[in-house]
Amino acid sequence: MIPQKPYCFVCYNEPKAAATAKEKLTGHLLREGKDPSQNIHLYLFFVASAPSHVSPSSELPPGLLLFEEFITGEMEQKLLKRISFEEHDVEAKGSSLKHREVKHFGYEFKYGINNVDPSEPLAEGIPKECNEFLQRAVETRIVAHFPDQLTVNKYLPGQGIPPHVDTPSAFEDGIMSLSCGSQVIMDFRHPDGRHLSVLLPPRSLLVMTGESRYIWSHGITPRKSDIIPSPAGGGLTLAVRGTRTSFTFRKLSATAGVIPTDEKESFMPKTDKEASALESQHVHSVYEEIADHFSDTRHKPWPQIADFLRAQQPGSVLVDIGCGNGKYLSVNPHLCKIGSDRSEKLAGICKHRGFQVFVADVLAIPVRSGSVDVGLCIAVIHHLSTKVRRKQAIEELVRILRPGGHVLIYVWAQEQEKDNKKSKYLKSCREYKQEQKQDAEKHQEQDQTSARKSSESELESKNMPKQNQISDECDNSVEFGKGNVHRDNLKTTELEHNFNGLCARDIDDSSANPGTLHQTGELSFDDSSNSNLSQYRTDSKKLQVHVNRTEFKEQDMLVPWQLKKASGVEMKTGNVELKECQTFHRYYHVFKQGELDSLCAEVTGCVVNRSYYDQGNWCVELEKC
Amino acid sequence: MKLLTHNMLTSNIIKGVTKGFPLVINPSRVEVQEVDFNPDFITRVLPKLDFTALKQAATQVGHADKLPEALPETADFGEDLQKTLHHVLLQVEVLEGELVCPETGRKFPISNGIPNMLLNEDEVS
Repeated sequence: MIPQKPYCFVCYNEPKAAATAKEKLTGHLLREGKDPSQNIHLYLFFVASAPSHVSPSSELPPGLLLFEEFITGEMEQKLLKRISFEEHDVEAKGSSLKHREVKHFGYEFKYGINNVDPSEPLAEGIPKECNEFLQRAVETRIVAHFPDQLTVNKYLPGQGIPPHVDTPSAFEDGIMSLSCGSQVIMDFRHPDGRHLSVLLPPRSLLVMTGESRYIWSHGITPRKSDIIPSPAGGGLTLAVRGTRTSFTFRKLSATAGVIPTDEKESFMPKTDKEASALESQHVHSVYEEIADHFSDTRHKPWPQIADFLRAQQPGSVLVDIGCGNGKYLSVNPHLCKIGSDRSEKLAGICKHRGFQVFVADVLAIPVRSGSVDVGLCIAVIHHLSTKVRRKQAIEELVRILRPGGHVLIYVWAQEQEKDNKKSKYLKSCREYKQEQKQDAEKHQEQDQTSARKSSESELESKNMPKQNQISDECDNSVEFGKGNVHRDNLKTTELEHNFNGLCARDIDDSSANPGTLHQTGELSFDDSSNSNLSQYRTDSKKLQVHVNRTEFKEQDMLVPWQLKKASGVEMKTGNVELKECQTFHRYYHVFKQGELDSLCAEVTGCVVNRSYYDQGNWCVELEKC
Repeated sequence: MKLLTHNMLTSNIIKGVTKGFPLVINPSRVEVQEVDFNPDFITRVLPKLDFTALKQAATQVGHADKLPEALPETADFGEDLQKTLHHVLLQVEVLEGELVCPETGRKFPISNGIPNMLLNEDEVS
C-alpha cells in the first residue's frame, strides 16, 4: 500500500495467478457502508509496470553523490555504540526535537538562528572513530574540506525532517550524511517543482554538492515504511523502517555565524511604515530585478480575463493596474487602453511593446476620479502586506471608475486545490508541461489551418517564445545545464521504466486529497522546523519561505523566484551553474475563500457583480455604483 | 506618453491636492509617429476626454495648430477635425520631459515616453 493512496500494487509470480486473482477479486466487497453507496469494493487492474514515481528515482539531483557500503558493518556498530542516545547527557549537546533526537559535535548547530557560533566550539570534537572514513572522503576528493562539525540525528520509525536547505552561508559546499541502521527514502525538491526520491541504504554516504546542496531542498517524510526495489530483484517491495541514525558532517565556512542580509528574517508588519518597507524590499525591488525573466514567462492571457476584456464596449477606457509586460493590453484592440506598473523595468518592457504606460502605485493611482470604464488589477493586491492597504487599493480602483464602470480583480488563493482539482501552480512543471504538450498536439491541426486572427496575436508570437504559459505563477522553472557530476549507484529495476503518462495522471488526480503535501509545505534553512523557536520569536510573526508548488500553509509568506542570470551573480561555490542562479523572495498574502468578497464589501460605492475561482485565484468583478 | 494618456492623469494623489488636473507638460523631446486612422475610435473616445485639458496639452507640446478652441456641438465633426484629433491624441508622443502638478509644482519625470508618477511616502494623501 502506498502511503496516503487508495491503491496498491501487487506483483504475481505468474501471469496465470494474476489472471485468477483478477477474476476472483474484482468487485469484492471490502467493507460494507451504512448504505450501499458507501460500500467499499476492491477492483483489480493490470499494469505493465508500477509508475516510476512510487519507487525511488533512478536519477539523482545534479551534484548529489551516493556511495553504498561506504563503511563496514563493524564500523556502523562502533559508531552507533559511540553515539548512545540512551545516556541522554543533558550537557548542552543532546536535545530531543519534536520528531527526532539530535546531538552535536565540534560546534552546536543553533536551530533558533539556523547557524553556528564559530567562537563557541564544543568541548567534544568529531569522534576519532570517524577519522578513517573522513580521511578517505577527503583523500578521494569526495569533499574538499575535512569537516569540523557533526550533527547526529536519530530517527525512530515514523519520524522525519521537513524539507530544508542547510544554511548556505554557514557551511562549505560538500555536506556528507552517513546513514546507519535503517534505510530511508530522502526527498529532494527543486524550487521549480521537480521531485526526486533517493533511497539511502544503511552504511551509505550521501554527499550534497553544488546544486543539490544549495538549490534543492532535502527532507524525510515521516512514515513507517519505504517502497524500495525488491532485494530479490524484479519488482518493488515495502521495507519497514527501523531506527536510523544519520551522521551529518559539515565544514564551517568563513562566513559561519554571520547572518547574511538577504537571509535576514522578515516579519509581518505592524505599522504602515513597516508594511511599506517590507513591500519595498520583497515586492518592488524584486520585480525590478526579475523583470526580464518575469516578462518572458508571461505570454498568454488567461481565458476568463480575456473574455472579460472582449465583452467591453468599443472605445471604453481600460486602465490595467499592475500591467506587467502588458499581456492584457492587446486582448481587445477596440479599447482605449493604458497600463500602469509599479516596476519601472516592467513598464519599460510594456512601453517597448507599443503600449501606453505610466509608473505608479496601486495605493495612489494618478488617474482622474470617475474617468475609467474598465479597470483591471491582476495579481497585485496579494502583494500588499496589511488588510488596510489591501482595502485601500480596492478603494483606489473604485475611485477611478465612472459610475457603472467595472473592475476585475485577481488575487492568489490559499486554496490551490478546488473540487479535487489541483491548480496549475500546484501541479509540478513536468506534469504541467506534459499537459501543455498534449494540448499542443491536440490543437496542432487547428493551428495550422487557422490563420492568425489579429495583429495582436502576431505580435505575441513574434516577440515571445513558443511555449505558452497559462498559469500566472507556473514560472519558477530554471533549466540548469546538463553535465554536472552525476554518479548514480542505484540499481535500475525494470519497474522504473516510464509508466503510461495518462494513467499515472489519472491516479494522481483521483488520489489528490488535502493534506497530502502537509509534510512538505515548509522550507526552512536547516533543521529548525521542529525545534522550539519560541524563545527567539519577537511579538511579530516571522515570514516563512514557501516551497513552490506545495500548498500554502500560511497566508503571509515569502515565495522564492529562481532567477537565471546571464552573467554576474556568484554564489559561494565552485559550481559553474550556480553562478548563473539567484533566488529572490517575493512577499505574498494569499486570500482565503470569501476573504476578497468581504474585503470588497467593506469598500463603499461598489457592488460585487461576480465572484469566482480561477486556477488558484480568487476573482471579483466590481461595479461602481 | 501620448496626449490621450495625459488626459487621464492627475496629481490628486498628492496630499492636499484637490484636482491636480490637467498636469502641465514641460516637453524636452516630442515625437510624431504614424498610427492607423480609425474615426470610430476617435468618436467613441472623445466624450470620455476633457477637451480643454487636451487643447492645453497640445499647445504645450506644440501641436495645437489645427485644434479649435472648443468642439462643435454637432455629433458629426467631419473628417478634417477627426484627423486632427487623431493626430493630437495618438500620433504625438512626449518621450522626454516632465509633468508638473498645477497646484503644488511637484514634478514627475517622463523618460522613454513613460511618466513616473510615484510619490514619496510622506507626499501621499
